[in-house]
Amino acid sequence: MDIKEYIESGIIESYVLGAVSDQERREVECMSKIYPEIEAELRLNQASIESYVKSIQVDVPTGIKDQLMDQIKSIPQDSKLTIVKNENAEVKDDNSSSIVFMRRVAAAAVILVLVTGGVLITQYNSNQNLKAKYAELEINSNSQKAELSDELKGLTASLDEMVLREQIISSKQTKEYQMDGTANQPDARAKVYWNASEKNLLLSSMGLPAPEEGKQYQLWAIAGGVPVDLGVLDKKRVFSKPISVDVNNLQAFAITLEKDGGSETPNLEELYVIVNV
Amino acid sequence: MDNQADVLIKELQQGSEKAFGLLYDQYSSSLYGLILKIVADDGLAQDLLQECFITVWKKASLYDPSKGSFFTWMLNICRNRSIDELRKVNRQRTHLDQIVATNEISPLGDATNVDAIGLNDIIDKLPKEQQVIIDYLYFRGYTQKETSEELNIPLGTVKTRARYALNELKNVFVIIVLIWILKNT
Repeated sequence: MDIKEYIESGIIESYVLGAVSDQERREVECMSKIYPEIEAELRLNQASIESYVKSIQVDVPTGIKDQLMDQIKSIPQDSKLTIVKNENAEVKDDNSSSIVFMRRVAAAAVILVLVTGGVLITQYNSNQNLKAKYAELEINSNSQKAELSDELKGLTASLDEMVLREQIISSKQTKEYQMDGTANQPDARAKVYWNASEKNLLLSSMGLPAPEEGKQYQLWAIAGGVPVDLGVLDKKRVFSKPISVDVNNLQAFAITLEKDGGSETPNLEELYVIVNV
Repeated sequence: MDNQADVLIKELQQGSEKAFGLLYDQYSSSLYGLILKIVADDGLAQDLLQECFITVWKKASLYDPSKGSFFTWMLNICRNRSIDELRKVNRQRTHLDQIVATNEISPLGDATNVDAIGLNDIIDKLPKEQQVIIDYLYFRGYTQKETSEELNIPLGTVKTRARYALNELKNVFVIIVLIWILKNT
């Protein structure tokens, strides 16, 4: 943009003489804000017009001022809120209906903003609630999934065990031994399914009384006159997992009640059931 | 420089009737001269002057100093309103008869102006073709294009003549102000 050329084009003079289109008017106002030289030229020309108008002044008949001073007492000033962007419009258009209209538009806009804002806040809040609920559900469903998965794993394992147990029990090599109660525990019962060729056994402990607090049943094999530890019985199970028994000269199976976790040697005072093989 | 004027405008914007009265005293005769020049009718000019001052009162808060002085703002209000009125009157006249005065360029400054600094009508000092341009653009509210069509001269010429006219005015005012300063010291 050549500023000198712009100034010499005469547009600024036309502007101060009020003889420009709306577009040219906006252009000059914009240019004068950007270029100080153009602003200076504009001010100078405005001052010329001002001086010229001063030179053609005419005394106003007396009485007009008094009338005016009287009139303005009952006329409220427009507040800054009603500023209309187009200055030309506000100067030329003295009809206040457009201001009223703009006020209504402004009021409608404010209401619209408030209502929209309210709706958005409500939506935001319910959205947050939904998110929280979803997260909660997700956690629940995850833990439920884990539970179900564990349960399924347990069931599958139980099924495998049952199949294995069934194989052991139904095997031709397996013998069933009824373990009877000793003199101290005459009502105690248990059953052993012993497969001598596979060297594993199954134990059904359904007939044993529930162990006291802090105690646990332990299974023994007596082989060559020596007790061999076959492990403690699961407190929750009445049917043991298959137990591998790798001993020679097997003589008997016995169950004693021991302290939690079992003992190294059986406590014969608390011998519940025994069976000779 | 116009600190006092700025204070006055601020007071007007805050609803001071006293500031309004002082601004009236300061500018009413200039604005009346302008309106009279445009509509050339005493009664109508007085009505328009009152109307414009009420606009100034009501819309004082809309004045934007970045676009020019307060006086220029008031000039624009008066000029725009007066030209609107002139057009209305001209339309009625055209309707009534075919005698349209616009072809005949009346010499400017035929009003009985008493100039504050002792000169009757500065615009007389301008070359005739520049006077005409000022007349059409400023006092009749023609656009450059309308002026160019009306006077049958190129648009560029309208712009250049407007520029020369205003430059001439500037020079004349410098001299006038100098004379005025010499007289008053």
